[in-house]
Amino acid sequence: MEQLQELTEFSRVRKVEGVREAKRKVLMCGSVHCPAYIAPVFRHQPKQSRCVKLDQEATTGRVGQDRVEDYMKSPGLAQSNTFQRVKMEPLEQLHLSHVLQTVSALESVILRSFGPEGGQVLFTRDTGQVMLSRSGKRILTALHLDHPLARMVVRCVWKHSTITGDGSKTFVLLLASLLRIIHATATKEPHMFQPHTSTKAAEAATARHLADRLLEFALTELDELIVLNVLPHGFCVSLENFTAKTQHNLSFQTLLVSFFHTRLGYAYCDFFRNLFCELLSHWKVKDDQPSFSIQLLNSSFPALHTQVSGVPVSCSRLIEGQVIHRDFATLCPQVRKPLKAVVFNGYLQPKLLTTRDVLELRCGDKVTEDRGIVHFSSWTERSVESIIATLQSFGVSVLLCALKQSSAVLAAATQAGMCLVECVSEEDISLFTQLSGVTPISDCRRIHPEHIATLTFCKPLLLGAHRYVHLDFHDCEERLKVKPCSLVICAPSEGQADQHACAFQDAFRMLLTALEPMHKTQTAPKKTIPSEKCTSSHAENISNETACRVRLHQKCVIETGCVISAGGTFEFLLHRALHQYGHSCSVSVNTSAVSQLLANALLSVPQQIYSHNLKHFLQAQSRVMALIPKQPNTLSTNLIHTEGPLGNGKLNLCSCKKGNMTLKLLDWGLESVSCKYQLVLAVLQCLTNLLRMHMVLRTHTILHTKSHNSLNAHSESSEDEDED
Amino acid sequence: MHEASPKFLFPGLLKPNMSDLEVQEPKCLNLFILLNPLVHWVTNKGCNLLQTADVCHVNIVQKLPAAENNWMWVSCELRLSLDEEVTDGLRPPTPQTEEQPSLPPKTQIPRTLSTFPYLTPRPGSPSSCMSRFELGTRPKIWEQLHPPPHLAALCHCYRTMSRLVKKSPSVCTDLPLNSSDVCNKLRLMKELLKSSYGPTARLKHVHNNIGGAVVTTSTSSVLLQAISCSHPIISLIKGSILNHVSRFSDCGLFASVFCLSLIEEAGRCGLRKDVIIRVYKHLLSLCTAHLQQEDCGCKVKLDFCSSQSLITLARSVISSKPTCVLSEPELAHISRLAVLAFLLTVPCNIVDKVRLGRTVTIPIEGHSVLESAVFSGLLLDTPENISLGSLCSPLRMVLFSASLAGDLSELGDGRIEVHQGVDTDSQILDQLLELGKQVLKDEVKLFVCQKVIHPVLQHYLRCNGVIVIERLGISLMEPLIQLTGAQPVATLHTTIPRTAYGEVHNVSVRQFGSKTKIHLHPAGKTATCTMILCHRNETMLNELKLVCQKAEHVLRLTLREPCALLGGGCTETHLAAYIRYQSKNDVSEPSPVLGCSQTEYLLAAEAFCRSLETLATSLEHDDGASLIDLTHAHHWTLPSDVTEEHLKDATALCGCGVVQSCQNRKWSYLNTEYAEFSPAPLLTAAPLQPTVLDSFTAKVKALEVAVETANLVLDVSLTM
Repeated sequence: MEQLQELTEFSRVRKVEGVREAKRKVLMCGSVHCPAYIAPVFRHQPKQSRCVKLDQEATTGRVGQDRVEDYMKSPGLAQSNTFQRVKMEPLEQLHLSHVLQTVSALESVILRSFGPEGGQVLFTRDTGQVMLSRSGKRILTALHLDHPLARMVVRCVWKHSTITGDGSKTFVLLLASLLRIIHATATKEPHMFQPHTSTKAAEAATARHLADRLLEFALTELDELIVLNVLPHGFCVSLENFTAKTQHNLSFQTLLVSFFHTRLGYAYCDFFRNLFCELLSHWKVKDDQPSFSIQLLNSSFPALHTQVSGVPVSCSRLIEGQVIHRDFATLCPQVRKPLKAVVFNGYLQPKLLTTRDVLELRCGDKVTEDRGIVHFSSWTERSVESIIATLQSFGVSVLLCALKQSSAVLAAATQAGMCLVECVSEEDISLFTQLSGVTPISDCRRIHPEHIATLTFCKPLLLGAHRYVHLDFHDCEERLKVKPCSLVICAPSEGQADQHACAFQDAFRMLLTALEPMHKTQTAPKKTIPSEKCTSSHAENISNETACRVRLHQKCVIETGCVISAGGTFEFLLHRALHQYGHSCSVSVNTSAVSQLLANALLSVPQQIYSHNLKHFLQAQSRVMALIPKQPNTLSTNLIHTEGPLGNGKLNLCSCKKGNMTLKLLDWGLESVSCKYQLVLAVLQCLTNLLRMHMVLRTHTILHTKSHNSLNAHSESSEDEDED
Repeated sequence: MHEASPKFLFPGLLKPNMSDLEVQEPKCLNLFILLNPLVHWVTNKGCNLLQTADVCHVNIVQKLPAAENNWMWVSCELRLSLDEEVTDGLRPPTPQTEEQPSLPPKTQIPRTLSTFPYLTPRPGSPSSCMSRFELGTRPKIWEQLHPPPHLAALCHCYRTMSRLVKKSPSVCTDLPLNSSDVCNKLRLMKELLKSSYGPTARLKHVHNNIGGAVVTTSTSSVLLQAISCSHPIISLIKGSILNHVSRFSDCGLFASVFCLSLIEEAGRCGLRKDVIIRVYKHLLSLCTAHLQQEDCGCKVKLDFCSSQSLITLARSVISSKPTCVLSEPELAHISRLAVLAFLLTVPCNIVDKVRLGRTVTIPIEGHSVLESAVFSGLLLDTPENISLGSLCSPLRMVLFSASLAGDLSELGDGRIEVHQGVDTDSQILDQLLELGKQVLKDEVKLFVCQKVIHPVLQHYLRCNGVIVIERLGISLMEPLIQLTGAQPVATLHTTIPRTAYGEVHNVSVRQFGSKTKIHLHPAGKTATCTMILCHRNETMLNELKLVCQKAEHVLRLTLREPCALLGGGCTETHLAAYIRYQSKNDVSEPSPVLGCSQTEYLLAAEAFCRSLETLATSLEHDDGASLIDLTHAHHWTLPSDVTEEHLKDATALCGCGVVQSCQNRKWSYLNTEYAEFSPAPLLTAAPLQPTVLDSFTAKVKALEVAVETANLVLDVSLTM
């Protein structure tokens, strides 16, 4: 205990000096007889170090390793530190025109890759690597933006498309269009709502007011409008039967094709659609919700795919089992059945001295003098051998380690005929444990049968320039009811392979969103029920949502996986619906103005799609409009008819065609209504946030972090508002 | 809090998280970046550094506040592949570049990276093991910070750093293929690569503006790596081709010239881009389907019963690189050696899965090419004056993978405080000598260590008649293990198990000029061999080494698909004639599927065929004319000083040497119009042996890569 006291004293002193020095390990070489002398040290050591650590935390406070932010914020440091000298810049008022300018600039960037005629955008990174993308999210996040508002918009886009996996370009387009119309309205009638001192301020107030009304309108009325006016023209996609190679899944496949078309261009959309379906069918959990397997794939996709560059795209394929993205550290395994594998989290050879430890070698008795340091290291070697021996007794022949192991461990494993893979990534390990059902070993001395997985094979696999470990699980089909397989994505260049992988990941997200239920709720009780927001924030409060759904159960029509023909159909239909809604006598003047505004803004999306040819735009519009006079009565019978147990997609399709619908499914592909609905809501939320901004405060530091600080300030405030 | 900190650290980067940079690389290094107040600079510099050294993974592990308030340590984990080129490049900066020792003002960028301490590999450690490198802006700063001893290893490629520029705003090019500037650059690149194509290629000298080494080459992998590109589209193409070459070793120039002419022809025919992309893709599938057919007119089945066709294949690869400067007998010798080395690496007794062995190449400068040789077994460097006493075969050997220099590297990162009177060194040495005694007792005659052996132990073993070889290096470990059957030992304190010992049949000493090598003869059948390559000077030797590796890879590819394509431009003209015939004859079928009119389809197909013919014509560099015969569609060249009548001379042969000239044959100049025809198969009873063959796998993949890359480039609408 006295020693402990000393140690803590020591660390305190060192701390004051500013040198980071912590726990010490004292090895009394001479006083105890070998080899037992090491044992007491190890019994005591952890205790000591823990005490020291606690003490240190108490005294040193914020100088902890990961606390740079704290470190910077502390006033004492800020004074002494040149790096934290902050000076205030003049305030910058934000005007409506600034906001419009910024968003228009972003719009012009994404326009080139928008629509079926759009192309790829090629970026050069600071590193000289090239990045290739057609995804709006990646394009926007790759931009080096200075303006805080632009960054804020990009953040909103990023958030939206991380959830839905789609719609980032339409997001910016719609936002710009809305801003343009609001700007026009505000400059025309600045004193619409209340008198203001300056014109600019009046404009801003009008715009803010309009945006608020828009959001309110969308949160309350939009879902119903969509359910009534858009859904009847759509089809249902279900995952139940996508595996069947029949026409049932035609709409599902078309949805995928059109998604891959927007991401990867014409050339590969069919190829990747097939690959995607194959992957999905392999991972389909029998007797379970189909969305469950998509969720699983979405979360473990980084470990599930391997990118190979320098090989034609057509070589992309599925391979059974799992690929561990590392090579064997020892030489190739001998084939020995059954293969047993374990996963290690830590070092197999105990790390005696960590960075802050000090090993003290003291002069002791003459008897043991010559054995000090050598014994210390031989102890570690023997412990490795005992671990390997334990593993051998279990018949383990494959070791997967998260960390790099010492060469003694490698040699011991080789001699025991085991094969060892080191530095296995976290994702790979988590997928392995999920599929094999074992838990990783953190304490090497305690190995139990539940740590041991059985494999059917484990062999090296050469993919491109790298050699990986390829393995398959023994009883996965019985246990998890899936056939695990991995995806190999090939492309001539890294940028392209990466792009394909991103498209896959986004396809999972898109499907998850598409399969989320859209629900129709009754208008009357909603006005009184406080939980009305549940429709807008699906993800956040599911419990709330279900409560809402139960209450309104009888009037709800829950649709999952509803899709509609792409090419602006959704926008045309919603435009029409909003237009009619605005003209109906039951709504107030304000609401009608707002719905008109949204209706006009929506039209800008198809306008851009057909921007190369105005004739096509008019054709498309008249084609969609031709559907409307036929009152949804007949169409909804179609819908009800197709809500039967199986084969929704195709039946729907047939009935649509029989119903003399002129919507050509394959012309433009399909898109998800639920994604579109969420998109409109997200855009309106972003718009409200943008227009609530009043001022930019630029705080300068020598570190050039001005834009960052202001961005943080803005985003924080916007998040606060989100929560309100 | 934790999410916010990376943003703070990388204000200048495109993305707050750097996961985009991540690519799996096998070897790990840790790099410490010393951050100065201009954080984003250093980070940008760090990234640039990474790129040149092929670092693929940056991951901020932890940040440590340093002694000086405005300095911060950021520990990053980097994975970087240290191959020979990179380690060669790790040179200290030249003295005259050492200026600006103080921190430059924020608008000024240091011209060179000499202000960064350079990194040198840790002495005695092979490049593969975990090392730590340090990087700071001021040498003095890190000296003051007292880095721990294992961090004292420093390194840097100063070349990288001279390329650092402050982050400039993105430059946008809208519709890049419509701008004449980009088109000119692409054309320039095409001409550059075209002139390096084929056996009569013009060589290229590449040297940079800061006095780097001069490279002479006509090989695509070296050339493309050496040139820096000014436009993202060019780097996109470059990246694709380099990736292809690293996978298949051959046909890099073929792919790049084809890709660039496809892009150029697409611009010339003035069709909509999406139409062109679709038609190109369709025609590619026609080509690959035709080449995969059994009776394809330009495919030759390889006969493994005789080495003749293998030698022809190797010879075509070697002769296509004129930088090697080989005379006819030298060319034949090297081709034979390449095939011999390949055959030696094919194992004789196959258990369940074929694992090819390795060829270790040893370049020796200053000798005639004809002295090059291939040996079964391994040749290792030895110390001077080695004496081989009477050794009875087989020899028992032991192989250590841990260092035997007396250090205890596995103890951890902590400090060791030694009190007065404790002699750890002698304790460890005693332990090492114990090991030596055990080895002697077990009658080991050959003692090999991957790392360094303590001189005392070396002396002790030598005195007892053991051959000691140290500093073997990680790259030779695997072949040696395969050759001897030994298991590497890494424990010093336990007795070496019997099973860990390996065997060699015999040991002999070989002299190559000034170099002495010890030759380990295999005890049984082995798949490991050593190739000694000799040439007169360094440039030629480097190229020869590269070419032999390519040839070996191409030969290995034949094991998967035992066929080859006719060389000398004949495959290209054959394919062009085939595509032209197919497209003219069933134009009505594909055009509605592809969503274009028949005229558009024909125009795009013509562009495709012309690009293929460009490849054949670019084989000729001496103002000769390229022709195609109108029966078999093979490629013929007509030297500039000969008239066309000369072709009818019966001795003339086509590019690949399969078709012989005769009186009633008709020719047409390439890139002129000729009536489409279906190439006739060769029907002669005893066809001539082709004299030029190309790798089938590499060429088919190159064709696909070229079309896919061209399609990608055509689809780019905005660059930044």
